[in-house]
Amino acid sequence: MISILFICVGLNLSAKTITDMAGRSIDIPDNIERILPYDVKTSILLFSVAYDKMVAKSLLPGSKQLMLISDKYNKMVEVDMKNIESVLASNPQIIIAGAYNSDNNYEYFEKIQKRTHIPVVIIDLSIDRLDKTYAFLGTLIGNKKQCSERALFLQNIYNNTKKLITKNSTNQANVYYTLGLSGLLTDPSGSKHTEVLDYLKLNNVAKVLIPTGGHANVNMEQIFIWNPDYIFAAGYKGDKNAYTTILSSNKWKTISAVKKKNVYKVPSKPFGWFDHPPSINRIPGILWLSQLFYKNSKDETRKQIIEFYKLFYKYKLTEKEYKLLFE
Amino acid sequence: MHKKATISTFMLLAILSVLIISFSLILGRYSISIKDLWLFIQSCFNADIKVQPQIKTILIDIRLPRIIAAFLVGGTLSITGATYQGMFRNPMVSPSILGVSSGAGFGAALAILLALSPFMMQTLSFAFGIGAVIAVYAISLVTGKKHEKCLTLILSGMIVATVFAALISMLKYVADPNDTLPSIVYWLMGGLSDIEMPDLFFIAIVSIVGLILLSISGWKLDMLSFGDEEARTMGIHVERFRFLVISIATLMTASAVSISGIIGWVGLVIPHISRMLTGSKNAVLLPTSFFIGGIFLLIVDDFSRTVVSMEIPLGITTSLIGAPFFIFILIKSSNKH
Amino acid sequence: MIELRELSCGYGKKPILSGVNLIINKGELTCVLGKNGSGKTTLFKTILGLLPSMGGNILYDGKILTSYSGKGVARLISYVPQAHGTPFPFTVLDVVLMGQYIHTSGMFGKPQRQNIEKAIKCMEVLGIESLMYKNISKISGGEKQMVFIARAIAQEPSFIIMDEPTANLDMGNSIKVMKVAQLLKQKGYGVIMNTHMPDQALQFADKVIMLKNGKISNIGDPQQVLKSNTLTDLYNTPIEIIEGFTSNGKSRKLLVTL
Repeated sequence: MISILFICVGLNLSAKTITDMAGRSIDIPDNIERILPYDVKTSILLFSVAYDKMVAKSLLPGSKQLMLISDKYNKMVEVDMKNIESVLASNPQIIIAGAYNSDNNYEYFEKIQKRTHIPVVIIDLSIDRLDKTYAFLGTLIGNKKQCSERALFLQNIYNNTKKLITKNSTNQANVYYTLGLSGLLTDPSGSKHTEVLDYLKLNNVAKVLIPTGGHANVNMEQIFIWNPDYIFAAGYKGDKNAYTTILSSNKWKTISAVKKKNVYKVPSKPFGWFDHPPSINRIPGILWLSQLFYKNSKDETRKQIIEFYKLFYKYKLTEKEYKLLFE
Repeated sequence: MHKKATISTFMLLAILSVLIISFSLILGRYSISIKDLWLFIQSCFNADIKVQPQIKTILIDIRLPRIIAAFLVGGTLSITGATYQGMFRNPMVSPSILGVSSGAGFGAALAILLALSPFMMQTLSFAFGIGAVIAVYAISLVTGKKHEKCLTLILSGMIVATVFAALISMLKYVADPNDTLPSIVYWLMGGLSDIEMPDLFFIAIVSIVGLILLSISGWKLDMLSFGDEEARTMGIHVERFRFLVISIATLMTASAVSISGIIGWVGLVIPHISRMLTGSKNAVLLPTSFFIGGIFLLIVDDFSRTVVSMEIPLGITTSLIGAPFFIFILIKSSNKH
Repeated sequence: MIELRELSCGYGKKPILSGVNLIINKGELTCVLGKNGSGKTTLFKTILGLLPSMGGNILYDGKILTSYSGKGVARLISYVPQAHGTPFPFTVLDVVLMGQYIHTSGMFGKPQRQNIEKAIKCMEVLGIESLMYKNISKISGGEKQMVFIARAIAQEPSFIIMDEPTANLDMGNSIKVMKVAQLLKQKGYGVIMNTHMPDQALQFADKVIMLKNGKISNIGDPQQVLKSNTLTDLYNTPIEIIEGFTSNGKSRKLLVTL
């Protein structure tokens, strides 16, 4: 009789029901001390506010030491979500997973939840609502002060950017975004990979070509037809990326962006500023593009980016390192 | 009677090739008319005539290398396919039977994974393509004492191809799904979108020299089709000849695959189409296959780069266009003369 | 002259034939008889160099045959296989022309005008020049056999080895082939063939060799060697030779079974 009472009390004490950012009702323990992120994009987002409660970060294939981020991140243990046993061995209380506004299929998360009996809490990774995500995390895991600090920072950025766009009216320039070595692989607008460009209402020349939202290889002649004014080349592993290819190739030299010298390498340390993965790491991308397209002052941008690295990567960027980001 | 038919077929093929190559120059997403083309040709000889720099870039840097590459790759795969079909006395054989495609695919995937330059990627792809065939030869030498030579080669080829295919899968598995993996997958599907003029020097030399050498060996290849023993009694040094032919064919195929990725179908089917036109004599069949294959792949590539703004991988369009085309040919022709 | 000295031949570890001593001369038609598996084909393949010998020597005019290159041997001895199908069709001329390969001077063995003329002459010897442009897979078995013989002649050898040339042929074609063999020997070729028809050997051969139990059991003039008792012994079945007379009064021997 007494043991049953104890069990009931025990159960009651350790559970509460919450609604996650996807509208799902989940039971989670009261005090969250052990969190496992579902993937790399969530790991990055959680790091700055929940490092002390993360049992591990997610596995990044081929990873070496990441630069321009706190050593603490590099030293964290890695867990591969595909390996159920290591997930269970790390013994988390909850798994936090990120999704986007456009997603509505949570099958994968439900599956993990079922197999591991660990509740999966979904948070919003949409680029324009990350302040709300941090606010939600504050309630979910405690650490309210750290969360609200970041939420506030993000809110300011969103507000400033909106102001700049309204003041200067939408920039009509043609923008082409490419990843990989050849310069012909692109992400069509409308996918989570180009949220940075779409948020700033920039004209991504690659209009929706694939319904599945994946990458697309385009024909060189198509580039001629588009004749973009700006080209952003996303970093590729190793020394060379499309940036060098485009600037040194005969084929590209008559393209408007190359002639006007508007070809840019997208900074990628520690994570890409546009994508790879599509998480909090895209905020510097927004800041940078608002400087390029919406007349945000260079000084102001630099300050904000350095502040970002301090808040979210726990890393103090020196002036020199800031310059190196763009090379 | 026969000689005349052969010469006229060749002339026809040569003229057709030139016509299609020229026509391909005005095909493309960016519209260039015949007038533009004619103006451009004039501007090469007459400094007074100016053309827009875009047109020059598109014609010389984008379309021309790609057209030449498509023709050479199609020709190479077809002639090597015909050669192997003759050598192994098996109409179902393709140039990849000795594993060169799988090896080349592995080399390319490895280069992409290690983020090497495009030049290194072609080199590595070529090297592993050759390496795969060397491995096949080594295996067949070790195991072949107790089995029939041709069968041993084919089986060794299957072994090596399977091993490399598994290695490719492994590379795909560890590749970064963000940029490395799509690049590998895309390369493996075949395509000529990145071709530049300097890439063509090697394959041009190898394929033209190979075309000449293989065409000349066509007659000996015919003798080989009676079986190793009979060929030997007629004075052919079978082992040495087979080694020579496989070496030439491998160099040609590896150089083609290293720039175009894996394109199936062409090496298997074009020889059959050629056979319907010219008969099975290898001395005629081999060079004919080269031209028909070159024309075919060129047409398919024109299609791949013109129809949609997205690049459709060449390996895909080749099969999708080739299959109904081949059915059409089978219906129209007859095997019973 | 081909001389076999203490020749052993076979596959794998144990020889099928051993202690073979034999002389084959030009201008002679030699028939080899023996049960299935007695080593007839093995012997031929060893002489042609397709199989390495397991002991002993083969000498051509006193010189060891293995010291000749593949082409060298082909210039001396040519081979007529049993008529069979090939997966890829050629014309008759194409096939006969292959015999001329070792006599081509072009690079990679491309046939020249004189090679073609010689090939046509070989076909004329056998009376098959009318088949010249016909597809080889479309002609009859007998005609096919003739084509292979023409190819062997085109090699311009001194000796011709025929492997069961009458095996799949009807009576008429079978006799045609034997008459051709006879014609060739008269022209000075040394013709060696194996056959399962001792009466053909009786009628056409100059020399007969019997293979039994891994050895030459009998060798010599067919009239002496081919007797009822030797044949019965060779094939393990009662065989008798009887004599008869043809309609134009010639005496011929026949094989019958009891």
